[in-house]
Amino acid sequence: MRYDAPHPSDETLLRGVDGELTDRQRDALESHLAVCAGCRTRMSVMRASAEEVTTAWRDGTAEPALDHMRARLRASLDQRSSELDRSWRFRIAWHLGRVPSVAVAASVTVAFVLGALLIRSAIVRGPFTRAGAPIEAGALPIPALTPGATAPVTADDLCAGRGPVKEEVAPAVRQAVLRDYRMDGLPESDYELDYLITPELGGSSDRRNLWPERYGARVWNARVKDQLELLLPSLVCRGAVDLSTAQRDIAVDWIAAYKKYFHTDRPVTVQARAIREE
Amino acid sequence: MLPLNSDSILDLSLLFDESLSVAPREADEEVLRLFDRHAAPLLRYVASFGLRADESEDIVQEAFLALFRHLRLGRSRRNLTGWLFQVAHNLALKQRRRMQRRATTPWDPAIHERIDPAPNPETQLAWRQRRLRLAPVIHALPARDRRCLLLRAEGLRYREIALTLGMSLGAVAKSLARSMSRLVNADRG
Repeated sequence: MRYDAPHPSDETLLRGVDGELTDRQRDALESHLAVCAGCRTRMSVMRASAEEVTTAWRDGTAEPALDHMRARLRASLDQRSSELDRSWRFRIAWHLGRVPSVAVAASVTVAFVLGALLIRSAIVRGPFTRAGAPIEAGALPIPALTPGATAPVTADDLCAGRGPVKEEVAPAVRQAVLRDYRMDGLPESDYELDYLITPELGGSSDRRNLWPERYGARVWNARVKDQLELLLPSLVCRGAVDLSTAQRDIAVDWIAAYKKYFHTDRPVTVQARAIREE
Repeated sequence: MLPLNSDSILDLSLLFDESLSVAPREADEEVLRLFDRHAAPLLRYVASFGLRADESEDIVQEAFLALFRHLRLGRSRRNLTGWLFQVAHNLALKQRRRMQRRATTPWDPAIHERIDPAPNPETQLAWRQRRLRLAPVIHALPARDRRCLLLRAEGLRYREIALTLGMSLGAVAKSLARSMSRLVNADRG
């Protein structure tokens, strides 16, 4: 039988091997393969190569021992879930959706009265003692040197993964930033050259967006900032926060931004680290 | 009164979210189910950034705790595998920047030197030969192509790879086809 249609591309063949074609595309490919021995051979070769890579990678990496990791994760989850189970706020929020509306109204009324009494009590005795964690020197950049800089991207771009590419900082830029902060004599193990506005929020690798964040900070340190950098892009992508607001908040004072978005005065990772160090 | 110790604050912050919709114990179980399914591939993937075993474990742990928060807030359950790999990928990049190490490639032989690959000498020999032949070709691929290939080898679907690496679905398909063509041509050469 003679076949006049163009032969499928390597991409189509591989997508066929991986089951990534639409039904229509798969039908078209199968029709072609039925009459084209050359393409059948190409597809077999493609399949063999693909399997070989998978086998070589997986055989080359032993199955890691996961028991201790699972136990550690379970302990962390138990801890957090127990806190939630005990929380009166959670119980009210959770049961509101499950009880009759009369009971809901009664609960809300009781909660309102109790809340008013609590607030009154707080006013009489003074506010809750939430001084917040102290901010150590070096936890924040110097605004004049590091005001933050962004690439011209939209929230849609970022949420579709078309944001700035994360790249290694050029040595000349690194040196310039360290000189600005008079830290060029310090060992690299003492600090991290961090993006003030993270690339996931459109932050660029411009010198104005980079600062040497010291590891020495015990409370407001790079790991805590990582938490904020995970949370903010997700808030932007679900439309809860404007991109420009998120960029401005993290650039002006990332610790204040952390407190604002996590509703807390202290980093939330203290317990996690304590578990890790045991 | 609100508990005010530092660890409970994160969870309390979740209570202010109007979309709160998953009970903590349900989220616990789901996270552990996903851990059983994805922890090993995630660990291999994170280690491929040249990180130490303890660093890799911390990152995977962090990714699953982020998943717990994600589920607790009732956020999208679409493509959770891609979501997990994306979080781990970002944390691994961040950690690598922090450690200021030279980037190692996912196919860096040093990663595999420490590992006993196969149960018997014949299989081991076959494995070594296969790796010796594939390694230079894979090593020569652009970093993004190499990551696509590795994620595919870990069993991820194209849409999961796309989310992890911030690429379009079409770009993932093209990248994999390009890499595979090079491997096939290298065999012929």
